[in-house]
Amino acid sequence: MKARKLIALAGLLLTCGAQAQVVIVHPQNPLTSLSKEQVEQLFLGRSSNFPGGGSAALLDNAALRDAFYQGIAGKSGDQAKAHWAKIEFTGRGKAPSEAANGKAVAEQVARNPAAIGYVDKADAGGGVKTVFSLH
Amino acid sequence: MFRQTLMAALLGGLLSPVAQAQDNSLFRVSGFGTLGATHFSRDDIDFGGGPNVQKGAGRSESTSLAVDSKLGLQMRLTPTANLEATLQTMVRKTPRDDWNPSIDWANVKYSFTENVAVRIGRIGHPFFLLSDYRQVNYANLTLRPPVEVYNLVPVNSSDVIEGLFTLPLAGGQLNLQAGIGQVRAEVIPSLPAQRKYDKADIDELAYVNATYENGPWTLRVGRTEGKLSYDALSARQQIFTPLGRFGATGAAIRDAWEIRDARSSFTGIGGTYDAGRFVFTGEYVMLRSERAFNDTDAWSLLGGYRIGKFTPYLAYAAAKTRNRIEVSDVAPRLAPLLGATTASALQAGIQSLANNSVRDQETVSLGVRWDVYKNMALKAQFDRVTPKSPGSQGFLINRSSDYPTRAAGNVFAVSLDFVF
Repeated sequence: MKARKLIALAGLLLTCGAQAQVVIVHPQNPLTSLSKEQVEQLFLGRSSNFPGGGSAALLDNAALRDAFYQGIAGKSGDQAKAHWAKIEFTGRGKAPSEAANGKAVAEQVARNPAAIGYVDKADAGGGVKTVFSLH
Repeated sequence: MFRQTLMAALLGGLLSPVAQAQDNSLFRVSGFGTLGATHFSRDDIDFGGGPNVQKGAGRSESTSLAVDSKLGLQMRLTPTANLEATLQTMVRKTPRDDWNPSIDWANVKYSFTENVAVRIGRIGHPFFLLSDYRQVNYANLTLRPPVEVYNLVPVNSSDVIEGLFTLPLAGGQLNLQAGIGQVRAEVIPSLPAQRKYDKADIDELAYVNATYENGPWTLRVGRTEGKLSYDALSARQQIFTPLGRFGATGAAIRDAWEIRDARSSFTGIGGTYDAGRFVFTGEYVMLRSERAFNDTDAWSLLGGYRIGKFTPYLAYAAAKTRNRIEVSDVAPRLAPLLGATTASALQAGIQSLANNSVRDQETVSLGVRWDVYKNMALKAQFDRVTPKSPGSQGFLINRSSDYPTRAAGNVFAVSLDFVF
């Protein structure tokens, strides 16, 4: 029990110590910011459009999936996958495509005006716009 | 030819090593499947898994790869932002006892706004809480949906026109679905030597389905109504066609019992609580019909506890017949016309048809899901299956004359579920 608490504490410290995750979009996207609820709506498939319009092309970051879904929805990466399988195979939405890491996500977002993804803050370079920060 | 091409395409999908869904904004291919091995402890009766199979594990073969295995492939075409066409085909054991692919979804959806859409064509019908994704085992915690609830309806798809609405409500989201249409389904044959399938049709189908999602909660209520026609070839040949030859009395008895345009309804309420480590699911369904078809209530409960990549779970499900049909007035009415022997034989035939829908049973299940790899879950499940009503075999199939009424059996199954 004690050991588990210690591990949890260590995990918490690591999370705080690690860089913040940020949600990024294409610079041409008119959005300036998103709330956590809006990010959750998009990444759990409850909304397929950006607030204010335009359909969103979701990108998962394989390296950060667990931490991201835990942070926005209290779900593990596996739970999010199972959740998306329901949506995908009932024609209610399209599961995010996946990129291997933050760099790849940032590159794809920089190319696609409809894209939205999440990366470590360090990977959010000049070609993309940050609209949400998860601490 | 078409079927062969489809089969080749499906196998191609399976063999490409966990292919990523093929995607561009216009065309998208994705899929799901289960590879399962299922063992049943009895040799005098079969456990069938799904509702619509001729042979299962047990008497037919002690361990079967056919009971839980399946492969689904979905293609979506999105020519404009508002328009989308979906085709979903599945390979699994069919009621004809072959592996020919079925077309389970084939529809066109037009979205007027993000929250209002109309869909026309074939859909996975939302009878249940796990409604239209009940075939996608990866999306669900257990190895298969609870038999007592999900095998009440041997129908997977309906052909409909429907409206889909989404509205924010009290911090959550309400999804409404309502439509009309029909069902044309093949079910397992009563006389396989003469026809490879029987037919279950629903006309004047009308339904509503409401799902409310808020944080860890998903609540669902739904109702489907229609006129059910169950064309069992044996009953038609041996009972109802002959009855039609015996004047007004015969015709009246036929019309009272034959399951043709029988007003039927299916109502369900259920919910899931899924937060952090805990998952709980409960569902209650009510099947109501007339003629020689019994009313049934069924319910299920499931609890799971996540430990990292592992989720052990415990489940219970039961089905109970309401006001079991006893056919008593047929023989006395027919005896003056046909003689006592023939009259009682016909009455026994109608009773036997009605008894087909007596499926009282309960199952206790224990299992574990292991999210072994991205897009893949490995599951192991044990079920103790106990048929409950006198003279009935519950949802077990392919019974031999040696089967002692109400004898229980154990199912052991392992499966690998995947999506791509």
